[in-house]
Amino acid sequence: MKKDCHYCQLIADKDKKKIYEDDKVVVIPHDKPATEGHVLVIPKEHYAIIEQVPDYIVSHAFSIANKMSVALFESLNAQGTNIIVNNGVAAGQESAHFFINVIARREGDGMDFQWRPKQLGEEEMSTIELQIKEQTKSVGEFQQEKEKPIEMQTKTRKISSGTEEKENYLLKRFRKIP
Amino acid sequence: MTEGQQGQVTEEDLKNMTPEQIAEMQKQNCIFCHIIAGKVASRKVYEDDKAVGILDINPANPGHVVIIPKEHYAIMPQIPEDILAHLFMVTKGISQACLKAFKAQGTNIFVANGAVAGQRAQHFMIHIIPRKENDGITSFKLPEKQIDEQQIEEIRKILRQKLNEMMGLKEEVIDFDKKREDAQQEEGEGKESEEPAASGKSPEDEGPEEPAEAEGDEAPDDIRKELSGEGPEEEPETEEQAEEGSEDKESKKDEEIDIDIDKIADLFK
Repeated sequence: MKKDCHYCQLIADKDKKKIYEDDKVVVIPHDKPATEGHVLVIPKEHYAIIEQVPDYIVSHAFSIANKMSVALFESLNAQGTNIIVNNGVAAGQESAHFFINVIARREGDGMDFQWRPKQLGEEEMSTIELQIKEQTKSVGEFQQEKEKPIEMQTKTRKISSGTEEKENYLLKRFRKIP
Repeated sequence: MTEGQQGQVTEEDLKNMTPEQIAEMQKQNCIFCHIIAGKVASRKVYEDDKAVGILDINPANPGHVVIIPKEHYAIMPQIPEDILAHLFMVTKGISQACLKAFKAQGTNIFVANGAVAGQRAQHFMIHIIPRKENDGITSFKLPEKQIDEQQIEEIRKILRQKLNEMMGLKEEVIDFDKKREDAQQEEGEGKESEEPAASGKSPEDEGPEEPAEAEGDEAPDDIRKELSGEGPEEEPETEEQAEEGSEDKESKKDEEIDIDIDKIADLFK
């Protein structure tokens, strides 16, 4: 956890109401949503950009994003969904904590993520192709999650003293009946 | 269905077709399936057994790549978990490749599910757009709508419930809080239909920490039954209420306990 990170604080905040939480990610609604039904899938660990996120967390986070997308379709009558990652300041990322936007879309919501296509010559495209092919050679070996040692769960149950007193009080009443 | 009709299939028609029909029709018409099969020329920059990465012919920026699954899926929810996981791990790799290859300062990863969301082809794809400062792309700046907190909270509750439902069915994640709640709910339901099973369960659940209380809780129940001389018709109801009390003792939520205590207290007035 990074102390000056807004999202790390949100994740640690027990009072913050979440949509979903597991050991790797949390899902919360966006405070300033683009539409009704805009949620963020955030890895618990602090990573600035997707390149730093281990592969198994990437896949898990997007699998949860997919489930959120399905939930938006089925529960909030979304007609479409967008999944958007703004990765890096140049891409419009505002906070240094990687997250995935899942946005419900409906007819006439006034949003349009379409871009204006750039016209590139054949030669330029060929250069780009070669440049990126060179770099994608190393793609394909994915990190697997290390197996954790099995932890024995010990069952403990806390009972606040306040309730206990009340219970006892009631029990006393029970016993006093005869 | 004739060739001519296939070209003009509306969203409405798609909804009325079986998934098999849709898949078959879409595969035949899908340019991306043709690209994968090698029938249409493209600039492939990545390929493995499940996914292909090609340069977008209408790029938002130089180096705009789309990742497509080899199998035909129209939208994300149709994609099996393992393929989806694979696609996004590839996406991460390609994003990194974009940063290196073009000295990009960032990437946008964009998925559109459904025509409303801006999906144009009937083949699922992930866009990766390399970005540089001041490259003039403003498409991915997310608007901020004014929605009051109450509504956001309502949406949150709906989604949480839905997600729990989905996860509960698949049992992929063990959410201890939820499991406890579920167990209590089941217990509650079971009690209404078959009481002996439920009452046998509760002392067992109490654990060794407080055996005295577990017994104590039931004992007065019996005593009360004997002594209060209530009619047989009322008995199941009151017993049920009393047991709810014992069950709630396990719960850490003080609010709930208070409410149920009130209920029990009311019974004696």
